[in-house]
Amino acid sequence: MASEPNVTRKAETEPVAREAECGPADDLALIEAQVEPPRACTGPNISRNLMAMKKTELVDMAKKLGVSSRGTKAQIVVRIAGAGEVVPDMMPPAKPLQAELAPHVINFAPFRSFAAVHAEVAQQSTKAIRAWLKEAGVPGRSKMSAAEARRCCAWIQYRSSWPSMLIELPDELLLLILHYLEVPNLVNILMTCRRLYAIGRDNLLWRAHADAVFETLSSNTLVSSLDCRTPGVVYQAILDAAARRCPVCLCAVGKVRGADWGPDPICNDCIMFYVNSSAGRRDKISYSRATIQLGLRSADLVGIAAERRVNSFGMPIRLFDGKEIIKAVTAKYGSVAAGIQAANPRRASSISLPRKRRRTAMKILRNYCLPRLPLWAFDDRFSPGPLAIAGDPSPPPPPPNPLEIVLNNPKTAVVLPSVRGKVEAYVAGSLPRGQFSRAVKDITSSYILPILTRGIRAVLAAPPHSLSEAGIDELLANPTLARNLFAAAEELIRRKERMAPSK
Amino acid sequence: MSGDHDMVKLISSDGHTIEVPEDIVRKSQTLQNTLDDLAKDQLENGIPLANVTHAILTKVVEWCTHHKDDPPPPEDDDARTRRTDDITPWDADFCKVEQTVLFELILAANYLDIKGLLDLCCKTVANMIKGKSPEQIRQTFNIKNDFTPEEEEQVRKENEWCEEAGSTGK
Repeated sequence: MASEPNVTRKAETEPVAREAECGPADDLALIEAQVEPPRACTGPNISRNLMAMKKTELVDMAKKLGVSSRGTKAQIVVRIAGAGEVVPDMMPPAKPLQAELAPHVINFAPFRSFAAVHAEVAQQSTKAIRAWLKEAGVPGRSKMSAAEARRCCAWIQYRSSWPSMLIELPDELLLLILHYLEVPNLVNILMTCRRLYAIGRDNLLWRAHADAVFETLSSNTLVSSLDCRTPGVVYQAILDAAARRCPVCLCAVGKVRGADWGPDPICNDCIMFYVNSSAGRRDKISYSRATIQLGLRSADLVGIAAERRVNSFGMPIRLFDGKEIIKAVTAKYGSVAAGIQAANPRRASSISLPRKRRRTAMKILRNYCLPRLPLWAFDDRFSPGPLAIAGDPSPPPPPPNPLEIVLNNPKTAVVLPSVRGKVEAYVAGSLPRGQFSRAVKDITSSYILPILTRGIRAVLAAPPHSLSEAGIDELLANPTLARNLFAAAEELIRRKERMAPSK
Repeated sequence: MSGDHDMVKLISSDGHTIEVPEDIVRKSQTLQNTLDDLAKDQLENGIPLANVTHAILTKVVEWCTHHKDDPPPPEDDDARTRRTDDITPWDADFCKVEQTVLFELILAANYLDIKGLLDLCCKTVANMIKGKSPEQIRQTFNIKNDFTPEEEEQVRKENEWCEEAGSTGK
């Protein structure tokens, strides 16, 4: 059958939809109704069927069961239903309500959704429902009560043969649907059944929510909420913040060995999560306190921070640890105390700063100083100047080449000839390997090490070349080839570091 | 039907054939790949669609015809927002069908790889879920509660925080 792909309007397509709804579905429903075992004499249907019997019949049945046959019909029914085990055999072959209404189920079946069935039933008049019941052989009543109409719908609702097409969707499509749900709705749907519970706990799904939340979260809100240490409150704060569309903040992750875990803001625009990644008690604490309610593990938080390299202001994220903070504050202000004073001049006077207790100083620093220091207090690269505008297309200036720093440094310039002499001797074979290593080690550790440390990792990015293959002059003149030299130096530094703990 | 377009025969799973202009067929990534891969003479007998019935195929073609001039949706999933209130009135009217049809549309859109239609149907289902309690969701979609009472209690406790946040937060 060929048909034109007409640009259809709803009115035109409705018959098509109806055609899809009826037809085979009706046949199926009819078969189901026919093969469905009668359940009239079991469970909640007992009372219904008993109520459908005449009172005289009920009285006879009550006498046979040995229960009182006095009172109203309802009272007799209750007594008979109480003696449930013998009832099925004694019930007259009255049609069970479900079987009676089976032909009408066919009418409802195409709707599939209970809401649609309800709507359909609600539209039918009581008279129509009575007609259905009469047609099905249900004893007539002078009046069709609302309860009876509801009853007609009730068993339809409990009909379990209707498949849930939502549940039957493949996982990836269900996830796509869940993707559009906000957190409260997502939680509601995963509480409906096992399958949705399993699918609704998908890490990526929750991670997307967490990402969205972190983007709209005020750091102050989150930090103050986390102080309460109540996950529900935390999430409430997150939801509130998300609803308010707060300015974007960033989330950084740091590691502090032995220090208390907790979210510590670096600045008013940033949040730092200290997550102790080592397996142990603190890891569990961090998991239970903050990440579990987002469906995330510590590793996920690290992943989030690692993936998002800039915040809304275009400022790059840096992962700090405690030592780096101390170092940065000291470098910037000369001392931790000065840093605290600069950050919080009002309260600095009231803080008795210990002089030698580094750990306490760091705690004070975190508690009083860091929340009030802008990120660029630690590093000029975080200056908000041209990078501070969200969506600014201009890229940040590239960092200076570490190799150039090393080569242009006056100290290096002094030292390089010495290194050159040693390398020449080593390549020529006049200097044994051991002596060469020691000599380079002495030179680098004395002069070059402080400078090399900053850039040596970047320098080592290129594959090493063989020293014997390159001329020494070319080596020192050509920055690319000079990497070999620093590779050798790096190796020496590593050896030194490896040897240090054993001493 | 305009004679400017080549017509492509699509054969539904129940054996019906629909002739659709090629530019509309190409809204489906699956069918576009098929058209690109097969020679013209191979297409003369039509493209069988084993997973799409005639009624659903008609609906899909209806949607594609209405949206034939739309720009292609963005590929980047990250750019996809969570909004479900951006459905146009025509699309909303298009989705006012029984659940059976709606879910079959989802399956068909997924099979035919029509991103716009898939998104639309998923948003519609999401809108049907929004604001409902677990029990209401079960009723709407005829989901059987297969949790044991113990499991249900555990799940409820797990998600208690959300109820608290919802009740006190706003």
